[in-house]
Amino acid sequence: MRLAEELEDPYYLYSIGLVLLSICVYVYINIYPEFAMNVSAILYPAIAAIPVVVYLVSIRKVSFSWEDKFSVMIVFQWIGSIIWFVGEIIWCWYYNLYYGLGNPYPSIADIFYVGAYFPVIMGLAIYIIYLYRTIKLELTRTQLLAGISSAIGAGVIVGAIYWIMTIASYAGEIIPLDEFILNILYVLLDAVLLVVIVFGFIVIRGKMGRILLLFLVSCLLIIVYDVSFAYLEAYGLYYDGHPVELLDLISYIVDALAFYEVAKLVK
Amino acid sequence: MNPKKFIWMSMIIILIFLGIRMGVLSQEEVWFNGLEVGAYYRWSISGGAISMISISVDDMHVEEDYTLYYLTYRDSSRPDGVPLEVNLTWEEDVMLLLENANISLPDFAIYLWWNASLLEYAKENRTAMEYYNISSIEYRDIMYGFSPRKTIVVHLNDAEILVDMGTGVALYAVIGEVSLSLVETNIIWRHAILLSIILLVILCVLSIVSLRVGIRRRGERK
Repeated sequence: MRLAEELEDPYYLYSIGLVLLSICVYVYINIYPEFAMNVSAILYPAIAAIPVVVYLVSIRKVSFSWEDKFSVMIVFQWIGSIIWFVGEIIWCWYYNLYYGLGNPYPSIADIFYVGAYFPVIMGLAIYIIYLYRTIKLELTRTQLLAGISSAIGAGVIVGAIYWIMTIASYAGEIIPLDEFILNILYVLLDAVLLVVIVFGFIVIRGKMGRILLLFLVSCLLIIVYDVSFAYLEAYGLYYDGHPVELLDLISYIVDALAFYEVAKLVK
Repeated sequence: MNPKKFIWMSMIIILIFLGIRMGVLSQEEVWFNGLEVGAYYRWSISGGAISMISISVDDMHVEEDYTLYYLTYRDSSRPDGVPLEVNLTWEEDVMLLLENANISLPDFAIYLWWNASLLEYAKENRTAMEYYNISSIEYRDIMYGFSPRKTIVVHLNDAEILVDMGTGVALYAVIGEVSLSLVETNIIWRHAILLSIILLVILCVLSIVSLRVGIRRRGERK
């Protein structure tokens, strides 16, 4: 019933339309791969701009305060979205369309891709820790231990897989220092983010639960994308316009949905 | 540690990291990036015996130490096209793609496709420049349609060639009496950045409109 209601919401319909549009575009560029780089470089910044713009609508109504952990999470997610958007502009407009480079790594864009993790992780962690403190009494010791160990376990396992795939992509060649540092950062930050996400799923509560859920799903999509990207790179299967990029694009749309829920909440 | 301290320390770490990264930033090799299967290029020519050249990339065959490209070459005297093969070995530097072609081409045609990475290297290395008989190399930003594009201008004794950095193909050239320009390709989009900006604006406007309608309807339901 609630799902049917949501599907009548114009913004949800619009988001579904965006996902379908992205899927159609990626089907097209995989049939005509010579267009892949240009088309994905045109689409990416446009989608990445949506969460940035959607939050702007309610920016004056969401006051920021360190005491209000929910506002900290929202503002930090938005800062993360802005930094990711700048990264996409640099990757797509500067490297792909101006320079004509296909898959620039490492590049200036990576500074922004990595930089965005910090506000995103901090924002989520601050709010999730606050939620945990609030509901601590509801959790038994066993539930708490199981939650923490599964979160850390998931982070370690995925981090290890990600690292193995990243190393495998060099096929025994020496890894330049800057790439090595960057690889470590990507793996570490994704692993830490996953720990925060899994713990977030355990403590998710309250009327703001849907907003947190959408942010967590968005971050989860990014991690799945990153690990899949590393796997594809390891076996030389990645190219600009690969369908796996859809996960990254959908994560922006889900982020925008979370900001839409914020706008509904503060209306 | 209180959250404020944690955030400030994290920001400082990011700044240090950014500084290091900016200092050691490396650029990926370009090679002949425009050699994608399905790629198509057509140049219009004036001042020569032929008025048009087009090249399409039909297929490629990758081996451990070389790659064989199967192209189709057309010009105004061979409108039906002739198959052209290029064998690129990874062990030696190739500056001009069509020097390795298995058929004879008009003299100026070999300057249609350059190794942009090698040109960048030659720009900083006088010996390499002399080796390829290049008198000067300079970067130039041009407007390709409504999009800016990074190019390299190569000066030879009697030629000036504007080479696209991404694909390595000549966008414009004057070679002796012959002048040519790239008039059609499916790899470089003339208005790509403008299209992206337009799409960005459209999607953002649609987002705001659908958001406002969504919130209004929710208010009406309540």
